[in-house]
Amino acid sequence: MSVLKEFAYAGGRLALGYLAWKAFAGSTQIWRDEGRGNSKTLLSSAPVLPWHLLFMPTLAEAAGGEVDSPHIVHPVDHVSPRIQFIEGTVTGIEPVRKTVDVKRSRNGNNLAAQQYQAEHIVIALGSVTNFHDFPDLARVAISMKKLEDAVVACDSALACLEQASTEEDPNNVSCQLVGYHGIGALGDYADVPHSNGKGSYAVTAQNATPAGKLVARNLRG
Amino acid sequence: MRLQQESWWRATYVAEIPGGGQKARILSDWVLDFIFGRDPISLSPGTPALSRKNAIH
Repeated sequence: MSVLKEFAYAGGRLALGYLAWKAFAGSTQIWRDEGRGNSKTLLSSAPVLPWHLLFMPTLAEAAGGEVDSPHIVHPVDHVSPRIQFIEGTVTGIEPVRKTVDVKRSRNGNNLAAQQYQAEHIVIALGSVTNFHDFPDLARVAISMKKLEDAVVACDSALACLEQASTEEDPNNVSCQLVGYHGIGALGDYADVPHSNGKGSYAVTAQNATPAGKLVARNLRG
Repeated sequence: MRLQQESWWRATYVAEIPGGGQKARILSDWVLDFIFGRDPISLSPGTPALSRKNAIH
């Protein structure tokens, strides 16, 4: 068993039996704790971008082309030089003894299991997309959790605008955005037709928006 | 009003983004967008549009 000096940060999808660090809550917490001068250990499977943290609130802006995608991704060691990053899957947390069991992995290869003990364990659960049991929504929807999602959302929005610009009946084309990121993306996409110099996009968007074809819905609301 | 809201959100984002370098890069993106306009491009051409026409069968 390894004994950590002060803090161990663990989080994400524990109910599913593995840990996937969701960067916003976790990285922000580490950033805010930086001034305390303690050593920190970040436990994560980081399945998409090992050794990097993604600032998720700006994903919609990356999807809308307002910021470059690489600019919202941060190497872990740039967040804090005192972070020790351990890639693996958390298989159990013992809150009384303050231990975390980790099934180590590196670049997809499983290593020996390890147990860590820390004075404080911070659990950052993150989130997963909720499709609210809508039939087929999970199949056709684009979630906004990963950098690839932003790229796919941007590509799909541009393809949708291309399609709309050639449709005789604009009612044949609609793009529905839901949730927090959907509302954010709506504002970003609304300017895309005007910013890429395609007049037909602008006409389509102007015609479509009052008719509700570009719709943002907050399912929680 | 819209400018105020956007400024508030962007200030919040910049405050929360870890790392001075990343803050500067994001800010420079916004400044350059303001000056030259946005230039969204498709990184994987051929991506299907997720429209109602395609999504509901």
